Amino acid sequence: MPFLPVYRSVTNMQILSTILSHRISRLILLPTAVCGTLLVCLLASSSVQMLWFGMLLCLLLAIVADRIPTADKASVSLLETPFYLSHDHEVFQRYRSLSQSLLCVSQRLGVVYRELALQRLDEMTTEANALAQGRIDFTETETWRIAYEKLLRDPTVFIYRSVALVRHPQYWKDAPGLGSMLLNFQLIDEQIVNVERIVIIADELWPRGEDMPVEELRQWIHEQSVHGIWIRLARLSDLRTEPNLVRDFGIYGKLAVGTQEMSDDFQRTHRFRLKFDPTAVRQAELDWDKLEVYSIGYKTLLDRFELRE
Amino acid sequence: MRFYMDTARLGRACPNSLQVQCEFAQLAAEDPSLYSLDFLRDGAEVWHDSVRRRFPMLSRWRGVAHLQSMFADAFGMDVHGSIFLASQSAKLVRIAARLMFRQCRNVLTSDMNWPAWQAIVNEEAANNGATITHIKLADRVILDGWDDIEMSCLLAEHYVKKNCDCFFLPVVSSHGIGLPIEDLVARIRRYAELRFVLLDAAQAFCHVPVDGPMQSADVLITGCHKWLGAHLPMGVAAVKSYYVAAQLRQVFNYGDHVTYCHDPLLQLTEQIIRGQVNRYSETVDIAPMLSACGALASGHARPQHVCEQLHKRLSNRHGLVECFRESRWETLPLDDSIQTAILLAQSRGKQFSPTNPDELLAQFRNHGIGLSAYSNGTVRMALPSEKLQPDQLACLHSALYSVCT
Repeated sequence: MPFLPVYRSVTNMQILSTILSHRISRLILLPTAVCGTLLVCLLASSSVQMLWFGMLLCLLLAIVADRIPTADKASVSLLETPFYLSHDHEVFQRYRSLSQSLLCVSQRLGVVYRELALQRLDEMTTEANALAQGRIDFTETETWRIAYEKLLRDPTVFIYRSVALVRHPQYWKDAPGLGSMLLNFQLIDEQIVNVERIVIIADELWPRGEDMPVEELRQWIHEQSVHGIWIRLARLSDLRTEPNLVRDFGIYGKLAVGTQEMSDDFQRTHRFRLKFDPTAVRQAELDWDKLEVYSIGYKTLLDRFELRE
Repeated sequence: MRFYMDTARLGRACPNSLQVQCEFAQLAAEDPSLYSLDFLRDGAEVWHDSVRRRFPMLSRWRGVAHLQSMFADAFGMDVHGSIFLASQSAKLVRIAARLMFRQCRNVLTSDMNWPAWQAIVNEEAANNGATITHIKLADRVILDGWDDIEMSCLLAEHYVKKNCDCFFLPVVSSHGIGLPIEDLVARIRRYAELRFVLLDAAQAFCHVPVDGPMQSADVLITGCHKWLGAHLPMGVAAVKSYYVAAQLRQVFNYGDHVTYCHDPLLQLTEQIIRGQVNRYSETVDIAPMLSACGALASGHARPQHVCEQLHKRLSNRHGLVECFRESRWETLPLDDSIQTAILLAQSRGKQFSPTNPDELLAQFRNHGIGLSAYSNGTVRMALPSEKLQPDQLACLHSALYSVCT
């Protein structure tokens, strides 16, 4: 029955792990293990040797288990939090700074100040919770494009799939939008990333019965296509039964999903939300697959209508 | 050489090309300034009459645009098509493969692809994080006698099953197997999206009609030194639509020496067409263009001529196969639907010991026969278009009997 002690020891792994967490215990255990192994190998019978090595294996597993950081925040008590964070120097610095600020807030006595400070802290907490869930929002700013470039340049991202919801012919034609488009072209030329784009077009920009979208938009599409972006086009009205697909989003490899909400004039960014969440990426991929059903390749349209420059 | 059957490797220079090369060499000795930029752009019309009389074959040169239109006619292309000329066909393969992988994630290829070109496609796929779906087909066709429909079905099935979105295949393999490209494209389009078709027509151009495959291809690449008979190697890419041509330009305009997309002839011809020649660029060998022009002028590439020639070559097959009957060699039988003017043969019973192709080649050469030999003891013969004469057949018969003994 050589596995019996192993099994028993595994059931007691938690206890072992607790013992091993003490420095003194580790100092005693290591020489004991080495000496014991030597003695067992020299003097003991094969069954005792099996038992001994089973014990050692359990100890090893316990050490490994002890060293794996626990991500579940519920299992980490408030007092343990700084110890866990101390493994991550960058986050720990922020933790210390925030803690010191909270101490300062707590030491101030003004009632009005306290009320305002708590309100602001609640807002900060909400944002921190979003960050903890892998969500980063950029509101009323175009600075999200810095994160966009970092994502596209990430070495794990080979393909960027983008859905552009175009309700205005000037879509992505302001300076930040043109900059992002040039970045797309540059990264394609440098073989850093490949881009596929589905353009959902409002019906007034691609009237039913028309072969192609309005010229201004078609040229924007054509330029991207010539640069090697694989483009498909979908009419907005064709998606009326799939309202959840009608949004502007990008899938950055398997890393993240970004969703852009446009302002009321459909030209500027109201909010850009990044989700670093595998579930969100998978869901976006499913949405992409559905959009492919409703869209047609720009190349197919060109072949069909033999458009000339 | 009494009996040349190695066109599939290097075609015999046609008389026009030969004369062009002679005249060009003479011109280089007498007055190299005559092949100026104007000459390249507008042709021999810029020369004085006396010069034209001295170099009659060179005088047929009417500029780069005219050469491109001659190639376009040979490929059966309409006005939307574009032709790209490069010093190396491998460069064109790299540029086309790079364009393909900008838009595609998974390419279907087969073991019938030319290894050097397949390696380029593999490299470009790796650079772009794309997948290669490689199908082993040659043995099934050569040993099991598959026909075109069986090949097409297998390729289409793998294309759909493995989620491919483009393919890179030869129109005619180096073993002389004709692939059913148009049928394959039609089959795939029934079930899946086909984003890009890259075809290798190195063995097909001027050997079998290529206007059909051209209609199915985005980019078709060939050379000039095999069946066209221009002797000097030059890469030619035929692009069906202006749109893909614009994409291709985008790739090689970005390309530089580092990215292996730079080709001096391609750069020069594009600059000439656009009227924006950089006079301080590198010196380019233009002889392949002139030689190809001579070969095309002789009508070798006209679709009707190619059909007639193919018919003549195939009519020689029977006589040739008869030579094998009592020899120690046997032809590898291919289904009629995929046969071309290339014949494969191997020693009967595989008792032939030398696997060194050079030795095999030398033995056939000693009998006055030029062909290609491979390390597995197989030989490849490109059927000639002239009717085989009894003395030629006797020569071959003697060789087939002797080489094996």
